Amino acid sequence: MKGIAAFDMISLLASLSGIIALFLCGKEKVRRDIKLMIMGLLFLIILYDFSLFVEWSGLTDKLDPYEDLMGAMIPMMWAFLFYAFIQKTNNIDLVESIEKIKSINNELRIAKEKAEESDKLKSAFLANVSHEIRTPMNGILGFAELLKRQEMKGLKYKEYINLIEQSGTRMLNIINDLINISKIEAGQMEVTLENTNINDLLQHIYLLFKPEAEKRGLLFSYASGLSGEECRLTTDKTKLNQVLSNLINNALKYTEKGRVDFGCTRAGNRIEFFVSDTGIGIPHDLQDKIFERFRQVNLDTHSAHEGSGLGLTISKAYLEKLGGKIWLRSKPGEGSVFYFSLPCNNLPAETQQQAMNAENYTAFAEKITMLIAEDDDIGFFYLNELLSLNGIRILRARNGKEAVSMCKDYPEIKMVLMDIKMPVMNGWEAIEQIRKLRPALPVIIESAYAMNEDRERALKAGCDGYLSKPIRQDELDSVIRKYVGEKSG
Amino acid sequence: MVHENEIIMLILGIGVLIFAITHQFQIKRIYGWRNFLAGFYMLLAAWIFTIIEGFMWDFYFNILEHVCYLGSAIIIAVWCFRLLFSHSKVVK
Repeated sequence: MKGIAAFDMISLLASLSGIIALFLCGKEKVRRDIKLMIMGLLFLIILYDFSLFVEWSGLTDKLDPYEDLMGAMIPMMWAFLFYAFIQKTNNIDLVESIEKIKSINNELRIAKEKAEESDKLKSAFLANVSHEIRTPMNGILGFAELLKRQEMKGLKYKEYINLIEQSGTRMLNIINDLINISKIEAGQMEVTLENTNINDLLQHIYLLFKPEAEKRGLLFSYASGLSGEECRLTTDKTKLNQVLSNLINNALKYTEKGRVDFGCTRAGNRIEFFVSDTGIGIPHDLQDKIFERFRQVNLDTHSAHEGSGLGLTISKAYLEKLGGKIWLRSKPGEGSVFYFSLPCNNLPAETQQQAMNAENYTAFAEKITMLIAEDDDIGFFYLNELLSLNGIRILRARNGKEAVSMCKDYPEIKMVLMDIKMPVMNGWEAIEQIRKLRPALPVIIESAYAMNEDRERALKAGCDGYLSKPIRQDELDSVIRKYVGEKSG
Repeated sequence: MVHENEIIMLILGIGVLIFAITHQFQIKRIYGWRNFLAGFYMLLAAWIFTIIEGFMWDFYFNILEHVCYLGSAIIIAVWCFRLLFSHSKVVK
């Protein structure tokens, strides 16, 4: 019996050590009420063990009634303890659920704000695009109507034609912006790296924008900090040109008086470009958002500034694709400076082709016979007018089938300008047959399909070049020089 | 001989066991729940042995009863020390 009493004594001591351990536990680990319950349970076990110890030691039997009471209270204390634990678990779940709901609510609020902002931007963009298309369209159709109605000569006639041309260019810019942004968003933007003379490019852009700056009464200048080999950069010249043009165009648009300057400097292994103006400036809170699509400094749909609001978004995407970055410094009312940098990774310099001068070109062009496969009368009339100016002899085919038979019957044809969408036989089939008949004959696609994949498809089909409508005189001349000039000698 | 209080202890203990089983999902979130429940099971075993003791082999079942009391006390004390030295809270 002494052994049993020893078990009870050890049990009592173990429970006592448990109480001490619990007492030392911080409140961050165990809540006070649960701590007290476990301590109570252990205390009951101690009392029970003590009564058993006393009984088995033969000290006294007066504790028997208390032993029964302790014994009954122990399972009850366990029940309370489990209940308290379950309550605590439920409370934790409730708190977690509340926190989760709060977090979801917060996310929903942010998403709602973004959706509202996006909706506002899209509405402003749509209103803007509608305005930007209708305004030049008004100019084109209006002045065309006036030209048709009146017998005009001289300066006024030329002025109307210039206005139509300007309106057309403005509308084309909007369409190009929309196509470019859709390409960027679809991840289909591609770059064509070539050796670019930065100084030549800056001068070209300066000459291009100088009349506009003079018209607005602004001082306009450019400065290049690059000399000799430094000014050669391997990059996508077209995209760099477009970025600079977008920034200068914005600077001119938002500057009423003062000056607009642009240029570049060498900064370590990068070339840093800048475009500064003394215009309206950009508020600090808009400076991060200005590169977001559809964003203009003034979102008011009645803003006097033309443009789609896509220029900076396109510029930023182009620069990121070229390994560059763009940033700005601006103070409302004082002006803005846009900076962007590009890495200097140069390809070996290409052999410069000797440009054919204008006189040689005219003499050369007079000897050429060209076939235009075009079903649209206006399209053919325009090309005919452009090419006839240089004395080129033109033959016309109204569909692909006619084009194939004319290539066979007229060996003097030096080049074919081929439309894609034609009746009877389309451009693709016609090219395939012409390639079989005359593999060396240059065939250039001229089409209103202006996407990159159309260009790639054309080159895969065996075409030598691709011109997207509207076709410009300089582009056409350059293609003729390149393909017919090369083959002629 | 079986005492009334021993029967009451066992009935209450079985009630607590049922409660613990039906709420096992919540009880599993108690820190060291296996350790903690083992303490209760040892106590329950002690209550069962004390009843059996009244019918047969009273000496052996009495020893088993007190060994279970001892085991229960040690297991719960160990649980308390584990809680003291851990970084966890009593309910996760």
